[in-house]
Formats: sequence, C-alpha cells, structure tokens
Amino acid sequence: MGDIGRGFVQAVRLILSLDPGTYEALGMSLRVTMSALFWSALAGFPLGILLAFSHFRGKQGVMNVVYTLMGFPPVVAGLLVYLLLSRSGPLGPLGLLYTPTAMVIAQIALALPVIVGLSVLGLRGADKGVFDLALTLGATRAQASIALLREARLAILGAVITAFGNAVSEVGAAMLVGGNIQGATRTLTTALVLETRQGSFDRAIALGIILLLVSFLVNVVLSRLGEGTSEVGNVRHID
Amino acid sequence: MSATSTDLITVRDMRKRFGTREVLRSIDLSVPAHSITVILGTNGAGKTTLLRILGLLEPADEGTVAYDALVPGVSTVTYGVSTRSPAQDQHCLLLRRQMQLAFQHPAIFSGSVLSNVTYGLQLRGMNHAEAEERSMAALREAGIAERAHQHASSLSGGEAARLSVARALALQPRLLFLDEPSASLDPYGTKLLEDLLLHMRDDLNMTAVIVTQDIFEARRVADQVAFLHEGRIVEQATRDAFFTQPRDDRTRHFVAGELLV
Repeated sequence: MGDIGRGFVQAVRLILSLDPGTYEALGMSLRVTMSALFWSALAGFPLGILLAFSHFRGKQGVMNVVYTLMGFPPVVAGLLVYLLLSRSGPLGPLGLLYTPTAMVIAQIALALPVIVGLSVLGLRGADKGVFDLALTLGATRAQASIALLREARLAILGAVITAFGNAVSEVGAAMLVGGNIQGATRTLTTALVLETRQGSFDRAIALGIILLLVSFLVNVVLSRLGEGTSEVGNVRHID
Repeated sequence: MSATSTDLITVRDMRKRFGTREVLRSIDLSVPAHSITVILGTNGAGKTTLLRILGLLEPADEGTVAYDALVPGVSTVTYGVSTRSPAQDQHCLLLRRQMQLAFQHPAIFSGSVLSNVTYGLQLRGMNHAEAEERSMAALREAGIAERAHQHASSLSGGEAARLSVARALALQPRLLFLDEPSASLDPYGTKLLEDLLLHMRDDLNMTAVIVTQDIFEARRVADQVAFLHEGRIVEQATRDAFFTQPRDDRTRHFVAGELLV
C-alpha cells in the first residue's frame, strides 16, 4: 500500500479516534477562516454594490487594484501583516503577532478583494433590465437594488465560496503571522506542512483529506443557503 | 400641437444627449388622455430614449414634461443641469406608480410567472391572496394563465411579451408606454395585444404611448401619430390626417417609403 493509501486509512483513524491535535487544528482553521469571511462579507458586499453602481473618476483604477488583489499571493499578504504587527511595526504594541487575530487579519486581506471583485462582476452581469423593470413596476431605488441583488445571488454565493476556499487553504500567511504554535495557532494547513517536513506523510495526507472534506461540507451548506431565496414575491410595502 | 385640458402629457423643448451625440434635439409633444398615441420613427431615431424619459426611468438634459391629473393637480418635471435622476425622487415615485413601461425585450425576475405579476401589486401594499387572484386574471387575459406556475425563464420571447402585457393589466396604470410591443409576437399575439390595448383605452380609461417603426400597426391602433426624425417630432396629427395628408416632406417619404416595401 502506497503513501496515499496509508494516508487514507490514517485519516479515518484520526477522525474516528477524535485525535485532539487534529481536531484542534481543524477548529482553528474554521474559526480563523469563518471570522475572516464574516468581516470580509460585511465590508465587501456594500463596497461591491457601491462600485458596481456608482460612477466616479478613477473607478477603473480602483477596480484594477481590486482585481489585482484578488490574486494576492498569500505569503505576500502574510509578510505585510507580519511587518505591520511585528514588535517594531506600527501595530506592534498591540501584541497581536502569532495570535489567531493576526491570521484573521491576513485572511481578510485575501478574502476582501475576492468578495468585492466577484460581487461587482456578478452585479454588473446580472440582467440590467431587472433594475428598470422593478422601477417601472413601482419600486423605489432601494427596492430595485434588492431585486437586482436577488438576481445576482448565485454570483454572490460564488464570491463567498471562492473566498472561503482561498482562505481555508492558504498556508503562507497563516504560517508567517500565526507561527504554527501547537494548541494556539496551528491550523490544518500549517500542521500539514509540519507533518510533511517531518516525513509523516500519512498524517499529512490525512490532514489534507480532512481539509477537503471540510471544504466540501461548508460548500454544501453555503449552496443550500443560496438556493433558499428564489422567489421575488416577498416584497415589503414602503411609502 | 397646442396643449389642451385633455392632454395627459405635454412635453416642451426636451433635449437629451449621450456624450457628444444629440439623441433628442428638441421634443415637443402632447399626448391626449384616454387615447393611443403612436410615435413612429426609424432605427436609432431616439424612440426608446424618449419613452424611457417619459416613463421616468431616465432624466432628460433640458425641458419640461407635464403630467396632468396623474397625481392630484398638474405635476411638471423640469429638467436642467442639476436634475437628479427621477428614480431618486419621492414625488416621481408617486407619478411612476401611475404609469408603466413595457420594454421591447421584456426583463423578467427569476421566479414563477405568477410572482412576476404579483411583484408590482405587493409593492403597492396589496395582500398576497388578493394580488395572486388579480394576477391570475391578468394572465388569463394575456393568454398565458397556463404558465402561471412555471419558472419565468422558461418562457419564449413571445410569451415574455405576453407576461409584460399581463403585468400592465394587473397594475392598471393610468399611462402605459410600449416599446415595439409586437416585435416578438406572432400574428395571433399581435392581434390579442392590439385588442387588449383598445380594451384598456375604452373600458379602463388608460392612455397608451407606443413607439414603433411598424406603420401598419400605427394604422390599426393609433388615435394620434407622431413622427420622430433626427431628434425632433417632425409632425403630429390624428391618424387619418397623418396618413392621408402628411404636411411634412419627411413624413411623406417615410410613409410612402415603407409602403413601397
């Protein structure tokens, strides 16, 4: 049986034996990624709506920056956050380096541009006629915007899924600003790197399988949420 | 083109440009109440832009549009340099809720055909059951009641046009704007639409403004015809006067040219 086969067996064993180290890493991965995703969505979708529907000088420049940051190398984001938080950095006194908070900050730097960029593209791509249709049927501007958001909900779901996938699977930033400290900042990906370096390929593969499994489950849940709102009928009367 | 007390819309010196292109140079137009006005024009004459401005979906650059008796009193929308988009104006919302525009390529909300019709009624505060009942009646009149519970994206172009008509029937706006209404309809659908238009005018007291390049449609349904050419209304007259004694050379050419095809 090769490494991959042994890794699979080991994965099942780790999951079933409730191996504390594995579950800690899993918990940390989810905690950091979900926090980063939450804050990125909270700031990113309003920004996306603003950028999709407003016209101002230099807008194309802003969009070019956003699109470039969508491909931000995680290790570069990690480096910048590291410099920001390191003892001699501007935010050094806060003592955040090598904490989960530092990892959340680094992942926001990765997830926010993805959310903003993909929501702008999705909203622009949604049928523009829907906005005018809502207006001519008697909607206010706000109600028409909601109608358009509803039409773009699949693109919005795509933005969340992509941002989640980027954040949960990145290792460079988590390693640099988290430090891979056991029981404190070790995530699935940083643990995986460590196990590989130590030659424990079966444990590394097991961690990889768990990572994929978690990604799969989260995506299933997110897709369910996205399909929940398919009717336009639920409008509220505003005068 | 003098404004009389029965004119529902009076347009004065309205202009609109996109960048450096002057689409509407100086529009003067009156739309008598409870009638069907057809605006004829060639491709790119600015018909759709004119309709979108009248329907308060887009601001003009200059000029005034007076809507008489749509909301209490006469409401005049004056356009100038600093005019905000009419979509942002609460006063325009009241006006807008008395009118409706059916687009040439009808947009649809994803959702059922029925929910596409109830949307506008629920915006106006109608309860769900009543809105569905009225929407079903409108869908029956438009001839697509059997599709009510299907997904609207499954409709063909002609069926979407019927859905568009059903939305107008359900909301019963005082003023209805139609952009090339029969472009995607088969002859049967066109006949149904034109009969519905006459029904709306005669029995529901509605006023319709239709833009089209179809002279024959104008002959069938119009009470008044206006000819839009190079950003101006070149001629406006009752249907018979327009077709039998056009005063303007360009109108004469347009009418004759189309008939020669």
